[in-house]
Amino acid sequence: MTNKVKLLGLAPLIIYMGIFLGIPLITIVKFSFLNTAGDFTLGNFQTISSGIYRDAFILSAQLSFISAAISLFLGFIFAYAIATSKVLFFKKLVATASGVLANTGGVPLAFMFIAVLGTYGSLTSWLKNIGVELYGGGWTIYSFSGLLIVYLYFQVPLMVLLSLPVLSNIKKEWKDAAESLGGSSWVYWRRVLIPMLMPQLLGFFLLLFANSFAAYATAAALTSGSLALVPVQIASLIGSNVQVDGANIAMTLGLGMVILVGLSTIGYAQLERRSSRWRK
Amino acid sequence: MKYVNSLLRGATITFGLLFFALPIYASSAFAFKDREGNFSLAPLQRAGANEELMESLFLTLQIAFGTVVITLLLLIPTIAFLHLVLPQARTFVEFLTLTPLVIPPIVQGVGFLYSMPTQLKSTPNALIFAYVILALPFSYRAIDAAFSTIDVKTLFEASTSLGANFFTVIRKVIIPNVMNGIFGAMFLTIALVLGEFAYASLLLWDTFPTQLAVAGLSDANTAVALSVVSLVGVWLILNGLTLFNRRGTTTTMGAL
Repeated sequence: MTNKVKLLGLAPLIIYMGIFLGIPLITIVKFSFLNTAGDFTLGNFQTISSGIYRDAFILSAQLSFISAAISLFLGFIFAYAIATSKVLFFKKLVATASGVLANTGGVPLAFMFIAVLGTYGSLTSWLKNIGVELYGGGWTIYSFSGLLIVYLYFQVPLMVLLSLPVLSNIKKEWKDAAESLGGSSWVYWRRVLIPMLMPQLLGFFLLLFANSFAAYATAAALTSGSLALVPVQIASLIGSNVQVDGANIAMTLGLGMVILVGLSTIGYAQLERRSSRWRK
Repeated sequence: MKYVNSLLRGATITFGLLFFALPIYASSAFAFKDREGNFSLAPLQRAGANEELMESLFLTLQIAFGTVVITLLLLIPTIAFLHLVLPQARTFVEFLTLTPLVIPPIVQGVGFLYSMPTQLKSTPNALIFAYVILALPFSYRAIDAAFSTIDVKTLFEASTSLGANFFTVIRKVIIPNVMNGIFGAMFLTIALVLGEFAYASLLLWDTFPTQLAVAGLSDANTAVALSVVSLVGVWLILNGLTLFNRRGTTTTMGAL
């Protein structure tokens, strides 16, 4: 078989992806450069780089940055404790729970947190009984910090899932070597473990950032669109006909997301490749 | 020193478990309680009596089934072909199947809405074609990992030398050997379909997640009860599967 004939075997997958991923993506790019009348314009890019749309990008970036940073830290520490613990079935239960939360989270997580920290939530009333008034100072679960808490419940599990395989590659000799030279646990973490894993941790940060930036369901179900993240703005532009060139602007916002998420993912892939080359 | 370490580890694990368990416990306490504060399954009964919600659940299960069928039909022959005939293209296809991760579902959904023919969009089955793409980064990896653990070439040559043709080998020899990867891919795909919200809400189909969001506006207890039941239910099924499947490819879930 010549190579050209061989490539035919990949045709079904490539054609399928071309139709159901390629065509939608080309549509996004095409509409970004057009107005409703179908004429070429760069106006959409001007529109999304000012006013509420620029604010949406800033808000999304803030939420993604903070949630990525916190979950990088918490997820790694938790995964480390699980990976070094001797109870095996534990590892499995945590891995599967993380899988469910990171993948199916979305809408269910939003409702669970309304039940926990909403105005009449169980934790809210419990805290009230011991004298802590959560809703005294204008805070709500529907605010930025409220949404951040809920985001941690799919971001930390994702970090746990990413860290577990990495941690199982850590060699016991590293720690023994550090100890034999008189290094404490703290020195081992700060001078050996963290520097060794740095490229991967940076990569995970980018991946967590991208994951949070792309998420829509939680914000939609929790805040009903009152926190104007980029995906929320896209959905509301598509759902209403108020804005001039609404659909085109929605797609330009989408293109902006693809570029940001794409850059983070490429950064992750580069860092991952560098660290895997170096480990060999 | 050792003592301090294990104390720290215990504290971290306890904190982590509380972190996960507290919201589940607290939201169950909220959902399954009647006015007098007694345990009650009434919210779930109300959910069962809610026709729209039940219809949406059946629709979602139907979509999940369709997505699994197309995913397996598309991926098993392709991955078998890659391992047998074209191993040098594996890196390329691996990269290709990651691309859906770069395009957020909401953006894919808008592109889909503005490019697909009306006949396709007029049935909720349109979502099946989209969800195959969304699940691809995970389903491909699960099946590919299983293929990597067996010697496909030797199995193939042994079977063909005994007179089996390509599809017989796939069906009778290869598939039974990569069953754990297939289960992993099925599970990941179903989990994704059960939670997918962006596409369904853009295309205005009443799937379980979009109906759950609607139910939450009118009956918080029911929405919370269903949320807890669906998350815990999926988790229990996943644990059942990992018990069944010793090699455990399902841990790749959510990770790249």
